[in-house]
Amino acid sequence: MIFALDYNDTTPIYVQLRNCIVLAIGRGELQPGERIPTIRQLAEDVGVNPMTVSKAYTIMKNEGFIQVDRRHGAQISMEFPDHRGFHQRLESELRLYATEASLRGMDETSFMAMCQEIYRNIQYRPATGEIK
Amino acid sequence: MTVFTWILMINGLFVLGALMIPMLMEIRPRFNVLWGVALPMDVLDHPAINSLRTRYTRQLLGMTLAAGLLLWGVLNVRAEEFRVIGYLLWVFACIGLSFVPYRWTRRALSALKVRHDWQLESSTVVHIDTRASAHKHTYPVKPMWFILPLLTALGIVLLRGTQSMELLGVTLLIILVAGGLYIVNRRTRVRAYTRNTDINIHLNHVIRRRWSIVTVAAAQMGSIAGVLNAWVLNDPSAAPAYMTLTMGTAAVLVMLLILMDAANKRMIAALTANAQTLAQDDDADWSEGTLYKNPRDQKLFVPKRVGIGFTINTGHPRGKALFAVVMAAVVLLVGGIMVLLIGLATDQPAIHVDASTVQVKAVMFNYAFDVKDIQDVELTDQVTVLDKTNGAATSSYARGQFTTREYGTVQLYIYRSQPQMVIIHLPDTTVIYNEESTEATLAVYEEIVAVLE
Repeated sequence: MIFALDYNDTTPIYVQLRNCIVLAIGRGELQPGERIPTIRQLAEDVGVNPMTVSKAYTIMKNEGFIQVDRRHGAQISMEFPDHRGFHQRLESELRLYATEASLRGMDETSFMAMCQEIYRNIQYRPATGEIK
Repeated sequence: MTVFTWILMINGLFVLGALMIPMLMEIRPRFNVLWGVALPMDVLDHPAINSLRTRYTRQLLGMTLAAGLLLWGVLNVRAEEFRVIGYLLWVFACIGLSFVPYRWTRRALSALKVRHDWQLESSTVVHIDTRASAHKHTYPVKPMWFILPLLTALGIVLLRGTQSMELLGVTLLIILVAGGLYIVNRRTRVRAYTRNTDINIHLNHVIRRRWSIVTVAAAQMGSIAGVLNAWVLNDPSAAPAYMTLTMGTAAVLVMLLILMDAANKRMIAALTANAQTLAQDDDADWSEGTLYKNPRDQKLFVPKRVGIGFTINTGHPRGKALFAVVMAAVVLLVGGIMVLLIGLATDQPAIHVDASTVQVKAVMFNYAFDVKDIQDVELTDQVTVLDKTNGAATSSYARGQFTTREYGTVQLYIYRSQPQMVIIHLPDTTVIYNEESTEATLAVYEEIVAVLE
């Protein structure tokens, strides 16, 4: 998996790390059960404090994207169950983006086409747990 | 020219090659960096850059020729005692000269980059290839390879017992420095050259493995040089062989580094040619393209952008301190050597005789002994100096420990133009001394005889 972190971005690094790993699962670059770097190693590679990586891993663990094992380190979960509060967060963020798209002159068809395109390009399919 | 001047000349040519060849190789890019300027991959063979290449090569060859002529001039200075000082100053001048064409070309290329608006992704974006990083510790050779140079260093103890602990210390220090470089190489960040993980793994694997082999080789060569030095201390007649072998191993090591760097550049260029590269613009993090200062980077050492090896991140708090310590050490070392050499060149040894002791005062080679230990004292004009063991010698003087045909290993303090010498026989060595004039030499002889009586 290759991910990019932007130090000039206002999004905190731990959020960027979390987003990178979630997007990589979606792209099929990280597969269920695959090991991901240890906190120490990733911190060393990215050049940040291990606490930053630990924060990202804790969030992902709570969201069910990764499992942390004391012996085997962290790995991608085999399945991603519905997370409490996710629908509420999704709706709230979608409302914001849909509103902004509408305000900036984007019609419903274009907005829906874009959403569809993004969704279709996701390689991971939860029904079978297989990669396209 | 004397043998010593020839040695300086060969040494000088070696230094010149070690400085200029890597600079000459800067005409080939290190991934996307040319003369310390980050460029998009597709412009590296732009006609304007090719004309800079031609100009740079011409300038560098001109500088090399000028430095060679300067070396010839320095080594033909009439006052032989100032040749070493002149030689050291020449080395510093060479280091400065080797960077002149680089700085000119770098400025021209930076201007070209602005004029053509050659843009790249900002270096604030960090790309990490987690799969390439996961195998990071398998890339270098195993650290146990360092056992070999450590075992070789034991040869010093076998040859000299506990007599040469300083030599053993210096050899172990060389192994330690090489080991430090091994660790730096092992801990350097894995680079994501392209979006293709397989290419990233291959490039990082090969480059890191080569570097680790070179560090082990450096430790081994340092160890061999230490053992050869111990061999010379046991048998001074082996000194020329030692000099040849030591310089030969150093030359092999430098050539190994140069060839490795060239091979790495070629491999990166070949494997990234058709891949989607992750070239970035990190010019702002490099002062003059050579000094790295990036407070965002927690790495203390990073691979150099120009030249071969690693450099310190002065944007790191510990990096700043380390850089200051290294600079202070270099200034102190170089300043100390210069002061010592000037002291040696201008020194006039003196002998002080009193009722109980005799002291010979000479910079670096003071020697004292008790009057009661003097077995005999004589005047002679028949001393043939064979080899220098630990001393300073020019065509006008010789001071320190030498081997002579007539008396074996001696403490020698003589002006070569003065044939008369005072020979003082001690139980385990002989001291040979004279002054610049015959009268003064005779006076020293008479003074010692008077004390003995």
